Amino acid sequence: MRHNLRSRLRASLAAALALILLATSCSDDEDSSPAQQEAPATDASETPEPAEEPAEPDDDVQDEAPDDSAAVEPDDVEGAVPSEDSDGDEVDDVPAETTPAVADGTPIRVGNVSSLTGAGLFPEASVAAKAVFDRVNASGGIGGRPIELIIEDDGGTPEGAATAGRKLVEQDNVVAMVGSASVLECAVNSAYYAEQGVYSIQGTGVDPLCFLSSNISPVNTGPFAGITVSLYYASETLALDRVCNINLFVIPDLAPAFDGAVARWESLTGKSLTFRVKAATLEDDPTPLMLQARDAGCEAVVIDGVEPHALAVGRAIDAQDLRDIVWIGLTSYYTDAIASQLGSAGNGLRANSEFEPYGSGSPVLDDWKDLMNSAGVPLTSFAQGGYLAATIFVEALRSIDGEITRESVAGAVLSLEPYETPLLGTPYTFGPGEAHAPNQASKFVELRDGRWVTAADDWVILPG
Amino acid sequence: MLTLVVAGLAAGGAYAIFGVSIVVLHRMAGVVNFSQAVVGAFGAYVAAIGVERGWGLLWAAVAGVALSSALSIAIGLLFARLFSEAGAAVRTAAMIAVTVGLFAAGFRFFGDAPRAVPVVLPGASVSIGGVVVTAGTVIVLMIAIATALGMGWVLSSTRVGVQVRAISERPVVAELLGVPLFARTALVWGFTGFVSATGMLVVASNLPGSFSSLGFLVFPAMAAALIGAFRRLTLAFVGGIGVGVVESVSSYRETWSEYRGAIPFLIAAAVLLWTQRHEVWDAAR
Repeated sequence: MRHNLRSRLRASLAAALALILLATSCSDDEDSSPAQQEAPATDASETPEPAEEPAEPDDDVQDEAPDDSAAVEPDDVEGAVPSEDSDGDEVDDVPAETTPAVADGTPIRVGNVSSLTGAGLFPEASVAAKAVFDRVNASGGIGGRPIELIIEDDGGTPEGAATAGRKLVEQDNVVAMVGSASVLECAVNSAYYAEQGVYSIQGTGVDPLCFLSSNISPVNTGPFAGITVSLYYASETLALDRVCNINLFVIPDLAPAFDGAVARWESLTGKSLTFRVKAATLEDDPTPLMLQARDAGCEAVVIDGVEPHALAVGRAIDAQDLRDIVWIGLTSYYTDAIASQLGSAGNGLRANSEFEPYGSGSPVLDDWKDLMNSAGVPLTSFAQGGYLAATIFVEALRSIDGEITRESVAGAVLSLEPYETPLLGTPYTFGPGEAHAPNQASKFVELRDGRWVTAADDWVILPG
Repeated sequence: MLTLVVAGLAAGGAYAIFGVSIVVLHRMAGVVNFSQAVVGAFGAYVAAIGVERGWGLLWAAVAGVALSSALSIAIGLLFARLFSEAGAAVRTAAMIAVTVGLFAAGFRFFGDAPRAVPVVLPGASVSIGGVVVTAGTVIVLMIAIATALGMGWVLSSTRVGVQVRAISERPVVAELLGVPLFARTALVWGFTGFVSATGMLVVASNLPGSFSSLGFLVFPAMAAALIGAFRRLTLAFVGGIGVGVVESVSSYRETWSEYRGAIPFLIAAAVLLWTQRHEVWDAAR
């Protein structure tokens, strides 16, 4: 009996210990987020730290790899200092010969809600947006006022997103949201932003409400238009007859939007899918589904999912010898990490690029690359989103005569002229509509020997 | 359909390894090891990190498997030391505590973001029914069969098996009789840790899973062990393969796949009802 009592005591002690461990691991995780949020607005070299992790393994393979050593090409040095040609269009009203004025007025506070910790990480968009603002600040800001970007981490949770949005709007009194990148921020905050009269130029919108809100207009294509444009590419550009779809990103809330994306392709083309299948859970092995697609006679398969799915899909293509089919992944597949991990085993895998492909040598990317390299931000698609959102926002700010307030910024955003840039296939718009999904285009990239190369240089643009 | 059956063998082989290991530990140490998969997940993730750091595939895999074995031995010694005289309820509670602790520690070390677990033995493969079976799958199946048959033989017909069973039933008496308690415990736990890590390495390279989702593969493994009624190694092996195949086949129809998580346990319940159909009430309890 005594023995029994003692072991019971031990068991409960062990249980308590385990719970304490669990609690500390969770709370530590939350603790780490404020450190990233409160990144000082002046130090650009420090902030990209959270961004480095996902891009780490790819450094050695790509020639346009985002590591610092590869980045120091002779003409990149200019990027560090704002100069006439590297600044491009967004600050061309500042005369180049004036010595950079110090922006020491009251800061214009801008908010950003991004997933910096948690399951799906999007760290680059916010630091890219900050790099754009820092450059503007270094050349005098907006009428002497610097732009201060306040970055809040939503931890990939609804509560986190709600808290972050409310803190920025009510406590920090931001004039707008710029360059946010999150899996669920729009779903949580869009109604709140509409109520508060806050507008968001989203850097990376994922959930369906990003594209269905009066107060949000993302610069990216997003997963749903991404599916439609990828199907359109397979059936129209590649002219393949038997087009199929595998849904791996199975989150119940997203299912209707994915169904809608397929329905939209069907109504645009008048065609129907040869085969469609959904995974049961996010963690499923995709191999059985892919084998079914082969047995159904698919010529092209549009397959979604997040970055780890890309790896599983690429490996299954190689292991099961499925290269006779054109596999088209979402833009989440298009990362250097995937390219280097799959190597030549991933040859032929394609993905849509929501902007001018970041790895292409196109000169339209020069300003972006220079700025990202000088700020130490990895060159990724998300960094393009943050850069574009911030650049467009600066354009809107410069159009304001008079005081810069939440109301005047809202007015400027709503009367924004369609913003044309070679980085986007369709012009960026905001305006007073009930829903905004301006980016309806993609280019397509293909894996060849551990590198993503542009498969065709023309934009695939969804009609209508 | 045959395609899907063959495609389910890799996962089935891993479930069989976990399931057989759970049954082995239940018989030899009197513990239901909920941590079977999470211990393997540690090995798989250490191998993944090793490859990222450029240790080379072989050394990373060896390091991962070695870590899992060591971790398993540590758990075994902990139980032998602290809970050898405790009742089943206490041991189970303690095992749950250890498992939760391992999940927490893994989350702390590896985070919740999925990692690329390296492919062991890339390239080599055979084709069955239009499905390519990789060398890894073949190895996992062979390890599963060898474990099920070999451990069955060890348990019933060898001196070591008798000693280990003695340790699990009367530890103090066994020790007084000169059975090397720690050496035998370490042997059994180390072996199950080793095979689990090997199985996990193969199955994880196909999955887009995070650390915790790999650790939760213990559920299908539990179903496999249950099919073997926590006693019969060969039935646990068959159960593991069966669960893997059923999971794969259920992706054939959306209506089936929605209930996939429950299917292994339905099968387990049916098998248990069938295998115990002749038992009278008292014996079956």
